[in-house]
Amino acid sequence: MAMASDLKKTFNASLTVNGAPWSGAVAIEETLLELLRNRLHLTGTKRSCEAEVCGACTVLVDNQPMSSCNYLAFEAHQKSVITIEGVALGDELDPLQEAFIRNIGAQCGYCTPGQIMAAKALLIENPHPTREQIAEWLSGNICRCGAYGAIAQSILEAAQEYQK
Amino acid sequence: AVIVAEDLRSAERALKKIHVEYEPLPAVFDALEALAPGAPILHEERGSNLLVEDSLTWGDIDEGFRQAERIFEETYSSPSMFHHPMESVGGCLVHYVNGEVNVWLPTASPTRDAAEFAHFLGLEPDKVRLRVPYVGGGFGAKIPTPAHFAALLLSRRIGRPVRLVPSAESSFRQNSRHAEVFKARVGVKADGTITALDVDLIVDTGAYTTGGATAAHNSVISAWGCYRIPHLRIKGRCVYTNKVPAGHTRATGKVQTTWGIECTMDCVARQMGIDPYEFRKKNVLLRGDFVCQGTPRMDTDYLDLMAEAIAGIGWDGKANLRSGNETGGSRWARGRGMALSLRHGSQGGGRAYALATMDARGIVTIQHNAPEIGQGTHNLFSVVAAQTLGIPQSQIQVRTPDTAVNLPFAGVSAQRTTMQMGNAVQSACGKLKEELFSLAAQAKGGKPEEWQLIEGRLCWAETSFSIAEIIRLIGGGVVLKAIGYHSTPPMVKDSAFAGMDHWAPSGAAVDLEVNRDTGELRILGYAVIADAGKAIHYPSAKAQADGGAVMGFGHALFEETIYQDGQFQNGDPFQYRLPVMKDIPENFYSSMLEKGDGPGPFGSKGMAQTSIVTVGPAIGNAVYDALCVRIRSLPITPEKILRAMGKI
Repeated sequence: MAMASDLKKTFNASLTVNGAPWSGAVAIEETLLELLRNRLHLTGTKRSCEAEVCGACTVLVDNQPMSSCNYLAFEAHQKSVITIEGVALGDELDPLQEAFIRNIGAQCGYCTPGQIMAAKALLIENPHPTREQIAEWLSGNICRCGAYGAIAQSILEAAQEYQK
Repeated sequence: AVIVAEDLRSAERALKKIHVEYEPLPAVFDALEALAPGAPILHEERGSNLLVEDSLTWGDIDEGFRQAERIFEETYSSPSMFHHPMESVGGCLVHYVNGEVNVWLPTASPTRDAAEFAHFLGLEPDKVRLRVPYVGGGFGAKIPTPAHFAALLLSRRIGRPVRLVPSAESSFRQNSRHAEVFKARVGVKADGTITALDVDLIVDTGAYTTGGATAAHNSVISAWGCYRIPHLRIKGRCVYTNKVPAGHTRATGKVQTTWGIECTMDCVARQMGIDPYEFRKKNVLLRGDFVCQGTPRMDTDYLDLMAEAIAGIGWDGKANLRSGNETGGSRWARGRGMALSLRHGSQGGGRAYALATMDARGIVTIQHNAPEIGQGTHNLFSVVAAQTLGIPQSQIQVRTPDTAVNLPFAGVSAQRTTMQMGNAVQSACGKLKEELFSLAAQAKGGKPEEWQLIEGRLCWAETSFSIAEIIRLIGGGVVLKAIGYHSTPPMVKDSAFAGMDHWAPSGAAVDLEVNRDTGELRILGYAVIADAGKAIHYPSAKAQADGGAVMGFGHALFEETIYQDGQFQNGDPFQYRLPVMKDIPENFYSSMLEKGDGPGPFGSKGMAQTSIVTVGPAIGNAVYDALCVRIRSLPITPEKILRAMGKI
C-alpha cells in the first residue's frame, strides 16, 4: 500500500520537446510515452511491445535513441526530447522522411516513427553507415510489414542527402 | 468480470484486486490427440473435437496409383504462429448513445463487423456506424475480439465512450495461424510424370472456430500445389484444441500446404534421381491447361517465374544430386532450393461498391469500405481514379472507411482488394467521366464520345475547358456522383473454387549455407517473383512481395507459439522471435511478371499473399541440397538440422 501511494507522488520536471520548453508535474510512474501521447498529444510516437523490444516508441533524448515506453518522464528532466513531430522543419520534410516515402519504407506506418527516430540517431553518430551497420543499429526496430529493404535503402539515401 | 476506469493505470490497479479461482480441466494441445478416442472434448454439445471435414477430388485415385511405378509418402508439419501486427490486436473506441452506436475500430472488414455488432446488440444495421482509421497492420488478426463486445455492453450500461487499449501480451492471446499436418502419398511414373496425389490434412483451429472452416477449405484446395495431377484426393479435418483460437492469417491455410507440397515435390524428384527443377518443368501446369471444374484455365507462366527466380540468385537451377551426407572440407555447406505456389485469385465476397464524387473544383473524392491496413489500398484507388479519369493524382482524395456511407465490401482479405475494389473504383470513375462528357457536350457542343480529359482539362476539338466550368452548369449541389461496383463471378455448381476469376502464383529461389557443426543457417540470397498482371503502383506492389517474403522468413526460421503443460510459453514480444533487418539478406531480389492479362484494373491480378508461402519450402529444399537431410517441420532451426544430421 505504501508503494501505491509513493507512485502517486509527483515531480516537477522541465524539459524541451521538439525545441519547445515544457514544465509540469509528472507522476513518478508516468512514462515519457504517456506524457508525449496523453498530455502533449504527440501521437506520432507509438505504443507497442512495452518491453523495449520493438522500437515503435523510439524518441531521441539528448540525441540518444530511447524507448519512451520504459523511460520515465521525470528522467527527461533538463533534457531535450525529439519526437517524429519534431523532425521536419515546418513543411519541409527531413531527408529521411522524403526517402521513406520515395522507397515505400512505410507500409502500415506503425513502426515508422520509431524507425525514423532510430535512423536519425544513427546518422548523428555515424553519418556514413554501411548497410550492415544500419541492420545492426536497427535490430531493435521491428517492422512486421517487412519493409526492411526499403528502410535500409532510405537511410542510405538520406545519409547521402545530409552530405549535400 | 469486466473493469472500466477513467484511465489505463486505474484499470490495471483494479484488475489486480480481482482474484480468479481456476479449476483445471483436462486439456488437449495436439490436433491428432484431440481426435483420438477418449480425448477431452472442448465443446461437449458437439460430441467430438472435429469442427469440419472438407475434401477435393478429381479423377480416380485408385486408378492413379495403379498407373504409378513408384509411390512415395511424405509428412510435413507447421506450428501455430502469431500475426503480430505492430499495433496490438483488440483496440477500439465505442460509444453507445440514444440507441445508436459509434465504433472506431482497426479492422479489415468494416461492413461485416458493423453488421455483427448490430446483430449482437439487437439493433437495426444502420444504427451501428463503424469508422476505420489507418490500421497498424493486421495480416488477418484485426477482427472483432470478445472484448469488443464487452466494450459495447459497457458503453450501453454507463452511457459513455469506452476505449480498449490492448497490451502486446493480450494481443498474442486473441488469434493465431492454424497449425497443420500435411501427409501425402504421391504416385509417379518412371519418367517422372505424376499420376496420383492423396493428401490428408489435419488443421488445428484452437479453442474456437474463428477461421477454422476457411483455413481447412483453403488448405484442401491448395494442397495439390500447381501441378498436373490426373487423379487427386485431398481430405482435411479441422480440429479443436485448447490453444489460442486460430483465425485468418496472410495466405490462410496455404503457408502450411505450400510447405508440404513443395518439399514433397523436391523430395520425390530427388528420390527418382531427377533434378527437382526438371521435375517441376515436366509436371507444372502451363498457360491454358485445364485445372479443375469451375475454375479458369491456368493463366500464368511458371516457366518464366522459375527462370527469373533462379536468375535472381545467380543460379542455373541444377541441384546437388549426390546422396549421403558428405562432410567435405569446409564447415559451411552451400545449398540452393526453389519453391512454387498457387492460390485462387480474388476469392468470393459478393459485390464491392465505391462512390466517386467530383466537386466544382474538379476534386474527386473516393468513398469505400476497404481499410488501409498497410498494403497501400488508398494509394492504389487514387492511382486507378486518376488514370481512369485523366486527372492528376493530386486531385484525388481517398476517404477512410465509414459504414455510414452504405457501400458494402467483403473486406481487405483473401487478396481481393485490387481486383474487386480496384474495379469498383474504376467503374465509378468511368461513369463519372461519361456523365461529365455528356454535360460538356450538352453545354459546349459535339458528341460525348468526342470529349477527352487531358491533364485535368476537358478537351473537344480545338477547345478546352476547366472541369469547374462544366460542373457549375448543373447548379444545385454542384457535385457529380457515381457509384461503381464489381461483382464476383457466379458460383459454379459443385466447384470447390467459389467465385474466383484468376490464378495467383509465385516462384522463389534461395541460396544459403549451413554450418555442419552448429546447424546455423546463413541466407546468402533470395529471389521471389509474383505475377501481378500489371502492377498499378509498382513500388507498393513490390513492397507486398518483399513484405510477404520477410514474414515468410519468420515462419521458415524461428516463429512458433510454444505450449508446455497447458501454458502458452512465448506469448509476448520478448520471447516470440520476429524477423529483424539482419535476418534478411542484402542480396534480396523481388520482381513481378507484368503481362497485363489479369481481370483487375489495367490487367492487374491479386499478388499480395503469394510471396509468403514459398520461403519455408525453398529454404527446406536448399538445406537438403546442402546437407542431404530433410527437415519436416517448421520452423527450420539449427537444432532440427543437427538432429536430422544425427549429431545430437
